Amino acid sequence: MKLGIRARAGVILATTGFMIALLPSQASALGDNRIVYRSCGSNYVASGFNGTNYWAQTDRVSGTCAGRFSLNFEMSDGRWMARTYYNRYSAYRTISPTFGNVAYGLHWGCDNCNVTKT
Amino acid sequence: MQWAAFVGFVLTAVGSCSASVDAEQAQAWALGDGIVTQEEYHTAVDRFIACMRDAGFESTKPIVSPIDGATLLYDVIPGGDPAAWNETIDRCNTHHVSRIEPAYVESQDHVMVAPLRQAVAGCVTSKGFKLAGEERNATDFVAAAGGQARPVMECVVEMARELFPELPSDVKVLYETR
Repeated sequence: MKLGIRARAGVILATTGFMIALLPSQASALGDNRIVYRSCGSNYVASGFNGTNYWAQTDRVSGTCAGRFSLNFEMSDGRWMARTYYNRYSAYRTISPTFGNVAYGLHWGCDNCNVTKT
Repeated sequence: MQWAAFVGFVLTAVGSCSASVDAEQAQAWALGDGIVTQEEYHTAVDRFIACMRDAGFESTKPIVSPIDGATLLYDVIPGGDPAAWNETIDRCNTHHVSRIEPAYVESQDHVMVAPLRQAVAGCVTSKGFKLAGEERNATDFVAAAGGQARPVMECVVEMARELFPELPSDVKVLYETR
């Protein structure tokens, strides 16, 4: 089956578009922002890229959960930065792309809680 | 099989608990009397940086955050194998600063330096929030913005980076939600 120039151009465009859609965008892994519920309370967890800096945020929303929460970044090569801990404060942390792209914001509701990725 | 899974669960739980205990014991020199001084906090950060350096990772010189006047801000320069890096940064953090930093920073009266305070006030106002004019720190600005932290944080970080170009890549801001 021979395709005309227009048809071939259409196939190339469609294929390119499909491949671009499959590529992970800088922000695609970030931004799964939500409230995380535990039996003792809830936290708001969020992250993103504002065009200049990556950021991650954890807020206590409600409840009486004991223990500290903590916040970190996972870079696109799997590297974690230093995890920072907070006893009673909410936290916002930001990092410029100097050392690479951030893949996820990492959030813990207590020291040994499972990590929530945003 | 179920028994093996149970043993695995117990070992994991014990391992997690021992990490917390290790951190507390390792940092007891500063935490023991219930008060962490500025000198102790700065020593803890120096030890963390030395721990990373001993493993081959360099850091920038810590500076006191102009945002709260308490937190030390610095970058550890990533390098080498990510798995080795992750093990090292977790170990150094757990042994030197993970408990001392929040104990010190959260016990302090946070005050934003005056030029930054003015710049943040202008930025927050330009986003449509009304200020009382007495805001001293990130917590006050978030309260003035009706608890909306993100637009305030964007102002804080943008203005801080503009006024203090020496700020490291990694910047932490604490605030209380009232």
